[in-house]
Amino acid sequence: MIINQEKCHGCALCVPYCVTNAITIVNKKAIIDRELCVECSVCMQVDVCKNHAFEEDELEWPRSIRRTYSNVMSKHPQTGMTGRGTPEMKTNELTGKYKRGEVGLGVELGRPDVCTTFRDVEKVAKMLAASGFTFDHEAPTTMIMTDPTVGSLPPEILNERVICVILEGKAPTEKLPVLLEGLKKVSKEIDTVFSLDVITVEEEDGSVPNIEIARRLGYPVRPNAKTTVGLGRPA
Amino acid sequence: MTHTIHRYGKPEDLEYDYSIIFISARNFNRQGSQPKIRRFLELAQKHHAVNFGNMEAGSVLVIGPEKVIEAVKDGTTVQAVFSNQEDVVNILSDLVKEDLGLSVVVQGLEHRVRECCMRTNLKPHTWNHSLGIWGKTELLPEPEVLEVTTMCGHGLVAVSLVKKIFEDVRNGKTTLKKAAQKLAKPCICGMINPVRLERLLERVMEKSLVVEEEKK
Repeated sequence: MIINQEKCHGCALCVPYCVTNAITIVNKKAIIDRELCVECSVCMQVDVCKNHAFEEDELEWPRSIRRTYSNVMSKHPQTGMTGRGTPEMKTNELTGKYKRGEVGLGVELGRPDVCTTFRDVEKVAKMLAASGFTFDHEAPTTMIMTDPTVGSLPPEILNERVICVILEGKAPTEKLPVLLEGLKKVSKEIDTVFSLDVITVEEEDGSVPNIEIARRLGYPVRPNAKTTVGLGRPA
Repeated sequence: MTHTIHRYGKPEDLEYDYSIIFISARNFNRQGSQPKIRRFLELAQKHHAVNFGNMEAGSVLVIGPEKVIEAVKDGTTVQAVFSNQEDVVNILSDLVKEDLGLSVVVQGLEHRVRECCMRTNLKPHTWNHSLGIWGKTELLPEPEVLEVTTMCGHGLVAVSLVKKIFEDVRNGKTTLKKAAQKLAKPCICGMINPVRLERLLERVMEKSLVVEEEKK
């Protein structure tokens, strides 16, 4: 993202909209700190600049990955989908991606409000891979891994910064305690935050085993949750 | 949209906060899904959705309902936000009746979502629960700010914007409605709940009045 300096009048209306505080006013003109900017384009999309000074510039690899992961309207080249990841469990009644006896995890690095580098993403990915986790082969982040069996990422992207990266996949339910323990450990080694999703196919009797295990192990579970209600069917 | 389960807040605030995602599945029902997705958005309007949006075009609060519906294509993921349980039950009843065939995902307080399912004879299939925020949580903003920013799962509402608008509300520089609209603007998908936002802003204002009173 760049600000056309001829069009900018330095009104500073755009400054609070930047999610990474990358916009500052210098010599009565708004400028963008390229290191902080994650190429989300919020500054342009909110249309706060009356002079239309914001312009999306051509990005080269690896910087282009910032836009892919941070600009919601940008489609992932790997999946053709907007957003951050896959449909995860949202269509599971059809796809059967997650089954009973399995635990699905979504590790949403950088969210909320902190952003992440791919270096931290790789740290978590390597821990998960070493603990018996299988990454979802349809997830954009799995598709860019150099080796999904170990969770490694292309070295040239490690310093790139984005709003959020989701690591998605699953493991047999019995691996859940070791995965949670590993996540606890690695969460102390990263310079960001992650939000943690636990996916479970409900049992016939209405129980949700993975959440029962998490609670038994002392992990707090938030009161809000989401569920598919089984209305999807093949066309 | 994974992030809807991480909407931060106390259970009493989350009582007014439900979202429904309507989504097709590749290789199953994506082709020819456009009219079904448009119908879902019409039903969302009928049942008083307080916000809805189309990830590829924008939210109703920014571009208006016609444009959101018009921009729907085969496979567009859409979502709607509701501020009370009755509206959720009513739209689910219509979705059961109309049998549009695409996946429906309901987010809210778990026990309330279960009640919605029970009242419409739907059985939850696959759950996604939040185990909260891990890592360097000291980098997070204060809880009231987090309540706003986590309503946009894509993290597009800046902490600095929330703080500025809180300040404007405290100083009487803007109305609650205008402030809520301004905060909802960056959230392209239409996941921000403006009703909950107004309640939150009211709380921020009341809190500042108490502080002012105490200073006297």
